[in-house]
Amino acid sequence: MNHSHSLWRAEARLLLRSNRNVLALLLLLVLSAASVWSGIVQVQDQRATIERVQREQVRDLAAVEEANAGPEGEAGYNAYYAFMLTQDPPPPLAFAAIGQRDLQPYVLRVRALGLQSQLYDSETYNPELALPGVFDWAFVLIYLLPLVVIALGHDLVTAEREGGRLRLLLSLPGNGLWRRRVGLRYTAVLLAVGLPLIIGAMIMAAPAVSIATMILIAALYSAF
Amino acid sequence: MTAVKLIAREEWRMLARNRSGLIATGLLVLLILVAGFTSLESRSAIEADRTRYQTSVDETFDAQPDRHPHRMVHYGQFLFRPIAPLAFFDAGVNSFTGNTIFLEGHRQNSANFAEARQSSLLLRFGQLTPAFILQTLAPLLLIFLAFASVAREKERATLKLLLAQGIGGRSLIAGKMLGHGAIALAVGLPAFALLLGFAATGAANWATVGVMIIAYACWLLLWAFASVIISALVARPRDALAILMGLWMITIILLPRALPEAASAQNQLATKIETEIALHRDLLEIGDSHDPDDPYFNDFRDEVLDRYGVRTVEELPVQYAGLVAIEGERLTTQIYADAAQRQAAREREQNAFVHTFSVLSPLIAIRQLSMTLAGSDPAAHQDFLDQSEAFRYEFVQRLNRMQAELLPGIGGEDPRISAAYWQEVPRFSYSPFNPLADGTRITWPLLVLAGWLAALCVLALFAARRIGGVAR
Repeated sequence: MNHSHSLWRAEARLLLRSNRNVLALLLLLVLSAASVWSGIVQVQDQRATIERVQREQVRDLAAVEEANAGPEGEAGYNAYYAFMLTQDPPPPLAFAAIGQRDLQPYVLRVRALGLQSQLYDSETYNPELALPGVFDWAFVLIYLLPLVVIALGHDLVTAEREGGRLRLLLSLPGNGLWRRRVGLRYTAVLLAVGLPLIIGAMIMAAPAVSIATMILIAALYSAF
Repeated sequence: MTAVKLIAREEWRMLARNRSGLIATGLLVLLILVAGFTSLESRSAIEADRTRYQTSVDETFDAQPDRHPHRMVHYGQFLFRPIAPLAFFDAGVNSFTGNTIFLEGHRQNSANFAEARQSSLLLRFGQLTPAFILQTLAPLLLIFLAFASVAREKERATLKLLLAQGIGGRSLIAGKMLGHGAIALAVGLPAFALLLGFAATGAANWATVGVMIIAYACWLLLWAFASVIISALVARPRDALAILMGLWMITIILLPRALPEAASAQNQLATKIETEIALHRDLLEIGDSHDPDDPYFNDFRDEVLDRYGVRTVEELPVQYAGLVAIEGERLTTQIYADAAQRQAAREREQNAFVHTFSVLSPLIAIRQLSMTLAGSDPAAHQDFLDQSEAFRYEFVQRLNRMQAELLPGIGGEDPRISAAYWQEVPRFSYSPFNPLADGTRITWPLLVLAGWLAALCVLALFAARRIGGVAR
């Protein structure tokens, strides 16, 4: 027990002795944290916008009501001219994967006039800002994590061969060397990418089950 | 043959022996060509579709029966935005801006049906255009080819041999930079040939294509030089690779995505609903032409009666409602135009914020330059919107004038004018946007790219001195 424990510790020391590995893991941690933070900012912006629009909507409805009130007012006009607000508030975990929320309207007013064209109304967004795509946790997981994994793992075996240690290592009794090495790197990567997500999710009060699902997806993806 | 050329040639021989490097280069070149042709194909398909739709909506407009002109104001016209010829090379914001706009009286509709809203998330990673490949993937290839260039000599201790044979650090670095610079230009060559061929057919003008080629040449050289210099500054090839990959990740992947978010957090755009409600309030403030006691329209009526020298509305030789429509359209158009300008100004502010960071991430400079030249940048889209708005105003006012001038002669319960008049209504003709017209949008990013190259050359001198120092 103690023996295998010290083996793990030795491997960890080997892993962390290389500046490059530490740098790659730190970079991943920072990127993951930055993406979670930026996702949370976006989601909070969207929530604030929905609230702002709701206040405007109340004032607008009051104005329509006032215009059609009085003895000459026609009650039916209220239904005809008034806009009704629909909204799509971001779910708690939206910060991790914004998807197309930045392009698709999440608040929309509909009224009983020209229904068809209202379906296609687009929200105003700045096309040049939308061009590069969103930077969220899912992006870090899908595009950046593989690069870090490659950086950590590309010379796992070849470095030993180049150093002339491979045959020696293979001839040693006891197994689990590669299992330990891969397992260690896998855990390190998963920690670096997952910790910020868990903290972010706790801030946004997301249900634990969905956080666990996200982490599971990340784990499966990294394993691949 | 000088030492510089010798070293460059040696570097090429070295690379030619590396099978995977050759395959990667070949693949990238192939990818550029494939992307060029498919995107050319899809551009002409979209263009053909839009022309067909435009003709068909124009025909149905002409085929409308006898009607009251105001009915035609609401029948409206559809416009489809034509794509700039070079947009096949860089699609820019074209997928994110609406392509179709419905023009009618009383209001300015937004351009709708942006492709980004209808397609998968994959579009957000980048479209397969030659510009995307040159901007994002080509630097990766150049890094892989050049990261070992000097560091390899250090690791194998051949560097000391070279220096002992009397080759200076400066000519060593210059030779490596020459070798990899030539490779970078060779990688860009198929794309440049594509552009030149396109200009030769007359579809694009030579000046635009020329600036585009210079810009991309600077961009590719920048990465080749950076790779060689970093390779000269570190001790081992793998460290050079790690640093360069980090640079690529930050300047090409991270900053261009993180900065827009900072820009929109700092300077938020109003949602469409808020803009509409505010507009509605402004419109109500002008006055209500149906209200007999409305001060603004009472003044307007008195002024019209004075102009025609009559005492009541009924004595006018023209239809009063038509005149009110013309005046109303003028007022609402102003309000809408003000709002649109405010919105565009705010978007420009956001973009300017991102553009200032091109000093840190040259990708922003090359991207801006490339889409400006390709005619697929926000300014070109704004130009289309301006043209369509000017046309809308003309078209609506023409119909309003018809109402004012023709209807009094017809009279009756349901006055209509002949369908023949619809053919007189003008059709939209788009005058292509000239990207070179406003030089400031091109000079700044070009300066940024040139500045990066200059800075790299200074860094190269420093690296050369350090390498020369090894010999002593």
